[in-house]
Amino acid sequence: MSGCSCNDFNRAQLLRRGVAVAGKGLPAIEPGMPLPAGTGMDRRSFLLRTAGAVVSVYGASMLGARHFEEGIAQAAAASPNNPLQGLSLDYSLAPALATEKMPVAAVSSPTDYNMWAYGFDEPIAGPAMEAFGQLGALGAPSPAYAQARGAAWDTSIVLKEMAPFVGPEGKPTYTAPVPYPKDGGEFAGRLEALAAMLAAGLPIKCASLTGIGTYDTHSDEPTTLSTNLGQTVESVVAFQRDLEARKLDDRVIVQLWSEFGRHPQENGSGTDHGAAGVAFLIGTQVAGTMIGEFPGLAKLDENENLVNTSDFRAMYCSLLEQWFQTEAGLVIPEAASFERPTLLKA
Amino acid sequence: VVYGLTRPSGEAVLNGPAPRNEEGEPLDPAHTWGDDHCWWLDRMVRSDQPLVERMTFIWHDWFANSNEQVDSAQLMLDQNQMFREQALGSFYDLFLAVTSNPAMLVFLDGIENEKGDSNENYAREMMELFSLGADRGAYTEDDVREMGRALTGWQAEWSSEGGMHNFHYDPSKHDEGQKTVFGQTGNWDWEDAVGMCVAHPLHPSFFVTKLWGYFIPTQPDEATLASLQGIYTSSGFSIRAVVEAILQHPDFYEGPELVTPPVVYNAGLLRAIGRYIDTTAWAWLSSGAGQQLFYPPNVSGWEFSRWLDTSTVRARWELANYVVANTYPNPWPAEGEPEYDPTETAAQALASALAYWGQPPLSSESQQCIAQFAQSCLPADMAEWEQSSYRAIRQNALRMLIATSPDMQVS
Repeated sequence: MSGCSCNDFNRAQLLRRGVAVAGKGLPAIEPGMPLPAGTGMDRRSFLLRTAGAVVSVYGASMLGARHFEEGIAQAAAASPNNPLQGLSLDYSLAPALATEKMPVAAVSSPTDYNMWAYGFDEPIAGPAMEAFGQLGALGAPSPAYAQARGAAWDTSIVLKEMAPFVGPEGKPTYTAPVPYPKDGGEFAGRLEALAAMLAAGLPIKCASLTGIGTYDTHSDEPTTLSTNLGQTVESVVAFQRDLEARKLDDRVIVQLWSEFGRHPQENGSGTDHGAAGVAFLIGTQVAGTMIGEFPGLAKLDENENLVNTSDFRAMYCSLLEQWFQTEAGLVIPEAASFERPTLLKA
Repeated sequence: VVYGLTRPSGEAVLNGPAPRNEEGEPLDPAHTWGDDHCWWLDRMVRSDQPLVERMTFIWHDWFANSNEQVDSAQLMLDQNQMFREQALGSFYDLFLAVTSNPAMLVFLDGIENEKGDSNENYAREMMELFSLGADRGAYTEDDVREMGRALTGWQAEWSSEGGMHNFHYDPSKHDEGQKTVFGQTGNWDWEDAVGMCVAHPLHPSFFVTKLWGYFIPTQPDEATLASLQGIYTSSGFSIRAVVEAILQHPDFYEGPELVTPPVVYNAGLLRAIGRYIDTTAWAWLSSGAGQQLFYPPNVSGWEFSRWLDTSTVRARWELANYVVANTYPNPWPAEGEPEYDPTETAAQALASALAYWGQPPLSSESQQCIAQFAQSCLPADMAEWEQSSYRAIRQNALRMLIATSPDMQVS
């Protein structure tokens, strides 16, 4: 404790500001406010102090065109029987993928997504897991049962879908056509698995991952930032090369974002909370131009933070309409009030 | 039955052996990661005052502080004991204790809130999350600011050896000016702040509705709401009186279920088989399922309506598997070890698995589904040696299917 100025910018404030922003149109930048770098779609998304990557896959399968009730994953045409349509490669579901009704999935490690138990083996284990899934398909007499049975059913589907990727002792069954960085940790491994899953034709529409390390660099910023960002970017570059080698590159774009910006004035060895941030779009279909402009350090806002020159929600509106061909207003409050920067190649 | 739960007398008795880690050593909840979680889980398993533990758990979520920010397991444990002592008393007393509680003073910046340099963090949450609720017209942004001024004066010291310590009220740091809160002007202080929140006309409806929500997922009807508010105010803000009314309400018995939080699921499985804390694995297992005690995700607590996804369901399977780890029949016993009954029928197998978990109430459709599995899972042409082994595997599968069944995730 103490020493860290996180103390005057804790999760309570993030939470309430997240709430204040989520439904109230164009926000003003408050002191220490993480706008407008995050998704801003869900109050909990403001609570994550990390960088993330969202991988959007268009036209991955021939599923029907229903919409997610909320969240960025709404962009994809949703199916009531495809939990992989919105996939968090993480220990729990990313807030941006949280839906009200449509099934989505969280898988921390595709190579060991199995359900092992003591004294449990074939030829009984197979039928047992069938029964596990059937217990999830017995109807929903109450919302609690709907959640419990729905999650059991989704889990049984994901188990089957992941089975080809689970090797002995969690070793992968696939080989990437390109090298991934050795120090990329879980992030690189998950991207490598994701490319293999996409190549195998799994019906993934939108996937989310958390980047390497943390980015709340109150101290030791030069080392922390260059290490974490360096490893994250190297992993994403490997993923892109992987997609190209597998000829999947025209169907996938990666959005890389950080939740909030830093204060321009350093505090000694790091920077405190600031405002304005950046996001990158990567992929062969992406226009590859800068949206907005660097505001410069000469003119800062009243809290001496960077001035934001483009609202992050405009980017999401464009992504929804230009990539997912979905009406942005279904997902983003007051979508009509935002610009539509051109993100994709003509 | 209800009064037996809500009116315990004296100190709780912990039945059964004291908690131990894998090495058989006593837990060290103030210093060892996960031991704090397991120390409390043990109380949930062994206490003869289970409702007190359940209420302590509710207050931990209601006034959610995380050791992630507090950074002192001892302060968290002290707060936990305070919740336990005040679990069923007066909400006014509890709210006073929370407002001056060291972990809370750290977590919501009470000690950063000084005359002339007001930090409004606690002022806002004490109204929005703890006593009145947002977007109900209960308070204005001006009230938040003025309340922040009223709360000034709490201080603490920090040292590298002792961390945060010497929490105290320093009148010289308190803003002695006039403050106007809810239209009333005076030189209010932190006790006035709590008193004004509790006396606010919109507090009783917030309190009884939020408390109701921990036990029953549907909204109380208007008559019930009015009755609960009447009980609450006429009893002098008695938590016990409201809990007793909720626990005797027909909706509690006949209404729909809630998804069971991971820790409650864990405690329930351990109690069902009579196992005590003999490993600290429960901390990471429960964390994987979405709930580590003393580490709620943020100040508004855990999301009780969203426990289950494809990752946390798998985590509950893993947790259940740890529960059975010491008592499962080995399908492949070594020479001289007993072998599993090679003649057990499907019906006997299911009865045995249900008895293992203490006859949990499964829905008829789930029981039928599991019975069907028991009936059909063995191969038709088993070799002599497979008769016993496969029946042992079937027993293990049945136990896991029952423990992880959707029925066991709701209550």
